[in-house]
Amino acid sequence: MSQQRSTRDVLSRQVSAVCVSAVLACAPVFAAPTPADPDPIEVWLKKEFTQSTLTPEQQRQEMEWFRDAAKPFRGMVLYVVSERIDTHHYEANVLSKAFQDITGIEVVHEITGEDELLRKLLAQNQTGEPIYDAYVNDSDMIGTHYRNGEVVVLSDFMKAEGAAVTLPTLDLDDFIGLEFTTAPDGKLYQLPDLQFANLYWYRQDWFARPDFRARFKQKYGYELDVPVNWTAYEDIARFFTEDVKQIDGQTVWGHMDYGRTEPSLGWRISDSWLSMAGMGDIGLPNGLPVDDWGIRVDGCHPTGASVQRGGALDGPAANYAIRKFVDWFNFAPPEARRLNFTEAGNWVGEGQIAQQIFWYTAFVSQASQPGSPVMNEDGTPKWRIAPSPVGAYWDKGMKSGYQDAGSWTIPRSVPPERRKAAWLYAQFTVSRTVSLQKTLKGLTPIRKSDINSAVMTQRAPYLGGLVEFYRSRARNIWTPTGTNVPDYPNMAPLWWQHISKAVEGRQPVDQVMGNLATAMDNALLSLQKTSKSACAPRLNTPEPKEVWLNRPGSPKPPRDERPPGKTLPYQEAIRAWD
Amino acid sequence: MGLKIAVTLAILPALLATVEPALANEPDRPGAITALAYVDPPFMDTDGIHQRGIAIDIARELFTRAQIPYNLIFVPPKRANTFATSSPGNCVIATARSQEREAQLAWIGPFLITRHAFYRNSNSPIRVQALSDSSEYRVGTFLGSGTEEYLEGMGMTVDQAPSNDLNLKKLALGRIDLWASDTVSASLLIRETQAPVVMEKAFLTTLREMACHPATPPETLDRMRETLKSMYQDGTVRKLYGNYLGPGVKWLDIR
Repeated sequence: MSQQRSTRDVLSRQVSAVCVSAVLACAPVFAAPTPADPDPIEVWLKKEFTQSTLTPEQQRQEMEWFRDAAKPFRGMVLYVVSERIDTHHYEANVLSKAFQDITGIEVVHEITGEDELLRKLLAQNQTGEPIYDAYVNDSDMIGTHYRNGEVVVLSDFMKAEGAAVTLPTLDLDDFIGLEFTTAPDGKLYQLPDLQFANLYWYRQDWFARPDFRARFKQKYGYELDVPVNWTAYEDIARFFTEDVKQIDGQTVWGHMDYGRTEPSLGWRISDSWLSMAGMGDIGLPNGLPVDDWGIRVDGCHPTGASVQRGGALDGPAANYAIRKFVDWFNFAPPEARRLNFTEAGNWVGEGQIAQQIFWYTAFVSQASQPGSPVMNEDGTPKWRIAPSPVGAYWDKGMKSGYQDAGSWTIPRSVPPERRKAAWLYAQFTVSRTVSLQKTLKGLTPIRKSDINSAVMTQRAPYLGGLVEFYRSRARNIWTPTGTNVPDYPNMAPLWWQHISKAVEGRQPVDQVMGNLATAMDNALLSLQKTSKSACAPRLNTPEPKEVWLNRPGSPKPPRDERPPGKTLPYQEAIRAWD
Repeated sequence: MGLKIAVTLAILPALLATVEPALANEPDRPGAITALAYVDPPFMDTDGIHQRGIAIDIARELFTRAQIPYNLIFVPPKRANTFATSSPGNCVIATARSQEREAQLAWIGPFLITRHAFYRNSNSPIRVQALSDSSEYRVGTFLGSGTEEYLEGMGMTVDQAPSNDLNLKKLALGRIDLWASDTVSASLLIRETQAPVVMEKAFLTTLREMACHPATPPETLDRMRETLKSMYQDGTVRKLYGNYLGPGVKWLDIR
């Protein structure tokens, strides 16, 4: 190690010692190095990692293990990248510094958009250039990773070349999302770093107002409570937008969404929207043999997305899902069609939205800001999250919604020594020493021990139902994209490229979905010709739609798409999570 | 001597070796592409006669290998993007791919892979361990570099200069504390001026891609994509970068 690096390490330790208590807003203060330099482990444990399910002594031992295991890699500079999410900002601005101070390994932890992250991973795989040592990549790509062999298989790595750098206290059984990052071959390809779900969000204070409850019941014949099905959601949306219209002089809306023509529109749909309508098959985590992208598999081989090939992407349930998505913009603010995921995320906090059927809990932190119109003076929220209502084609035993599991992923092109250093950093960010504090900052839990901790019990009343969700079995029923999708980076853009035509009114929904299904089939056909994977697509020969629609399971024939509306009181609604 | 001229002279040996490929300047041939570049040294540059730069060399090699006739012209950046969006047959050589423009263009990439870092005076006590540390300092960027948008999006205030070399002067005069630049340009400028400036912390990696009008024939796009991929895999792109960087200056391997 160079003298320059040594001095820099000493300086950085002193900066950190001053800064850790208010890390994100801290101004560095510099002093000359002294012989009595504080132990960085001690500094970080006392000033930052004060909330942990480990005892201070256990934390110290864990950090000492990192310090010792990292010795061969001191002075190395790692490049990692993750999405623009609060949890990742905490990692980039705090955990990377702690890791450097304790191990001597510098980390350039970049934050970028999800779409760009996918392109970078694709670029690294295609060019072989050393762009990053590790990615926090959504587990939605598990079907791609296990088929193309371009990422390190972590379960193999931990047993072999990575054994010496695998944290003895990693405790994989403590992770809640391992099934999302485990492929059909039983191997672990990615390590969960954060998780958040997509749930129903609503203004409990407005729903509790006697005048609104009476008006709603008089008009619709049932109680204004948590909607269980899409009919009730639609009725409530219409009620607030067309009947209530204003609360305390402010215009209010019964629905919120986003529809701008860009990649986040694709994720709005591919993140389980069609399965919430009921398009796929029964079975967890994704429906088998037809999943939440409408892709059928035979064994591990995708056989088609169109109904003619046994898929469901242009079937009645999928068309119904997109029709509702488009129609409900009539109940949302006029701006909604022009917003993207990030821009729409802030809207519920402004106090004009009554409910949102598709709301990522990654925004809980933003919606809980003190002084916000949606917060009470005592710091409790005026809103709640509850199980998402489901569509007319949904059957018991199906997944109920989406969960994002951003997970550490190491490209196979990363040289062996750098893989080990990257694995150390990945484990550091999910170690029990830091994970509870990280969870409190970003509210994206990954460990059972954190979720069940006394600290989270104390925070529960302030988080609108998030803790209850993660303590229930629901965390296994809200699931990411599964293994039926064989080439996520190249197939994902098809969603927004086609769905945008329906949102903009350029094509009727049925035509859009027919074209989308054909495009998906073509992508699968292309892979069938080029993929060397043992689980490559093998497309079914097209048959008349009626043949498939009359067979059991998905694709499903037409149903009554407007059954009676049904709602449940909040406490009963969340029993679905028990 | 202006810094830009100094950099240009530094890369002159690479430029003198440039021979116009046979497929160049054939805008009238069927299927010809008008490749639009803009001044952004050392990636794209022109003195009105010669066209040079890393991206220019990659483009020439790509069109030649893919056997696609082309005509390479320099225009202002905004005009390049407008032409590519509105007129079939036009491609911007290397531009940032964004979610907002994703739907308007057809993309071939990665054309340029670029690291960006903070630089400081070598005697400065400033240390940046993470991006948020830089928020307390006056950070200089240059207009159109793409980093100012990123840094502002991260809640930072940046001081924009019309060209990158001016930031080196501002750093020397103490008008900025940190200079945010791509590592290729910064390394070349520091080397040419012998300025006592050191890299403090990398903070961003960007990809730039060739962006073509969406009506470009799919087979042409596929051919360009496959050719570019092969240029990475056989080391051609790395070699083209090396022609400009010279000894001691690294591209992605700034570890």
